[in-house]
Amino acid sequence: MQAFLRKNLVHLLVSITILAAQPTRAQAQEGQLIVEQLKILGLRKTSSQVVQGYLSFREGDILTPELIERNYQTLQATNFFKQVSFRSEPGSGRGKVIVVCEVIERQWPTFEFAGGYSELDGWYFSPLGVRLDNLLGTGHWLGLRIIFGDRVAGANLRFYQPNIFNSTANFQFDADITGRQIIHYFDARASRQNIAAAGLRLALSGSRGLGKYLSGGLQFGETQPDSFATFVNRKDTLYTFPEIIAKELGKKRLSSVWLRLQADTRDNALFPTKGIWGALSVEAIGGDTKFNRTVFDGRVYQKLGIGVLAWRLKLAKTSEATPFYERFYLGGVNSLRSFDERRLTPVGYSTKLSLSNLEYRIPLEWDKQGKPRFVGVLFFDAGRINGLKEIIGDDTVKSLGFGVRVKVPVLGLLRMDFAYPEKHPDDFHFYLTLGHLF
Amino acid sequence: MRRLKKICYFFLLLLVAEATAQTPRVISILAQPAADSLVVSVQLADIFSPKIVNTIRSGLPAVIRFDFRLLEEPDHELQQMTHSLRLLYDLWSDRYRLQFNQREQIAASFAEMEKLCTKIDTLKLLPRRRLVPQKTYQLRLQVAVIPISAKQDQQLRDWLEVADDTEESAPGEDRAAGFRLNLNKLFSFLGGKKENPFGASEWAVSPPFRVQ
Repeated sequence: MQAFLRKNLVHLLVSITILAAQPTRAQAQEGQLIVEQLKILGLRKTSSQVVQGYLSFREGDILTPELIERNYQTLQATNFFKQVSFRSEPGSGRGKVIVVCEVIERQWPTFEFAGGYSELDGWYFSPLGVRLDNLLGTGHWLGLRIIFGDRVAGANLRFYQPNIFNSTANFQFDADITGRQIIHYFDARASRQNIAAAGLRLALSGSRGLGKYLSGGLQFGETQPDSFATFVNRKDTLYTFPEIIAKELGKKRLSSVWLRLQADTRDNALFPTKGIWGALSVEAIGGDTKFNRTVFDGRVYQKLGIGVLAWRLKLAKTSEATPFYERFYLGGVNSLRSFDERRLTPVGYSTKLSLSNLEYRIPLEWDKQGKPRFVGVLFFDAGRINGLKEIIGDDTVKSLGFGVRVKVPVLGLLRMDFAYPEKHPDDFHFYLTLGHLF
Repeated sequence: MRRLKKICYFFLLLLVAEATAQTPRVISILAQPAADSLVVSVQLADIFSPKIVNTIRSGLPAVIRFDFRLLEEPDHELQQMTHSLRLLYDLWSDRYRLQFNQREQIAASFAEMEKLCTKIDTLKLLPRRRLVPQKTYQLRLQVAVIPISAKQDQQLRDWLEVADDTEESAPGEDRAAGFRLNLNKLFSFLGGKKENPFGASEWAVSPPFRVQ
């Protein structure tokens, strides 16, 4: 009896092990196509794992033309290949398909011209950037670019390696040398102060599992503000700063460790109609000055009637010891509209910020890809920052407005906004910039 | 000398390979102004390369794209028009479906489907009132067959339409939005580089025609 049980138990365990080891293969049901095999042709230096990492289907998955189209666009967007094409062959049975992906690898560096609008630096252009993506066939991005702009000049070197050591972790390295101007308001007059900075940034993130929600890294930098500021009308220069700025004028070396908890469930990155995008980032900075900084930035998108309701909330706090150029500011096209860039920022900048933007986006015309080409927007902004009462006599500032977004070839989304301060509706501001506010 | 011969053979082989790569051919194109519209009849040959045949037989669609250009003599381009014929083999009913010009036709065999695709009759291209009497026109046509998705035929054009919009990489960072223009792709586009990896026919021209 015992021998019988032992024999059958062993048989059962072996059967379970064999069954568990068998890959689960979907059978094609009527009307369905199943991927039986994936062939990748034309790879000379690129590892097939790099291509597979970008594809969203595997053997055994249900196949549709739309799925192939999405994957085709994903591979095109990598810029690793001069040409990408998908075709198929009949598999071993009805409904089974062999998918053939054929590529021609890019052998030479690519050159790019870039531009845009940054909250930190204003308008910027990169007249020539060089990209050496996938140079070694490991799927990395490597780029060097020079930047000139309204308030910035500098160079940036970026290296990004997805799936390091065949894992789902991604590594990024950035090196920057910049000279940027920061805006101060002294007695309601705008002035600019140059700040020279050089820095290195290492970041680790993930594409699956916990790594998708958590990223972290290290940063090292050296900063040297000028000992004077020039008023925007260029008629005079300020050499004597208030104490809050004057004490930070020397060269400073700062190093930091940061951790970010993030989530992104948007259905589309450039015109989301539902989902959230948000992050809580915590930073501990040491070196010549020690301080901490916490920033929460959350965005919610929801379809409502004929349009999309989009809401953003940004909350930020830092220590009192934080140098002015590492603190927060308020006012401007990407912050609280209806005021000039940083007009609502106290002298020496602020340690606390809360900002909320609410937009109702109504698509009015669609392009061939089914994406909105012309969008009307109604918006409401509200913000608070330490020291705001001394500037406008109130703790909170609000503005209302409307605008349009127009899709333009090459440039992308052109944004035009008319914004009115709640307290002075006759003092409207017009902004022309790129991309949605959030 | 031997090396030179080898190089010559190599280039000869390349030329032969290029010549034998099957692309569709336009046998004839005839444009005729009818009562209310300009009507076109087209005859094609060699439309299905083995790669396209395999794709259709596996159950995924293929698209035949007709790219028309209306010319006013001597050589002034007036209008561009594109029509697509979508082919799908239904594995489960063993039938071929052809969707063209808001109409669906069913073919019982590959040969029947091929016959329907190679002879396009009385395609209404544009309203007759768009043509000016006494002027002489011509019609140019290029045909391409694309497996699975027509997007595979217009990667450079699509890229220009859908610019590389950029956004800040993570929330909480300073907001930046802009664009990135890939200069290599731009030069390829301006240089009129061939876009379709599956090949297209040579441009064919109809005999001149007039509206009476």
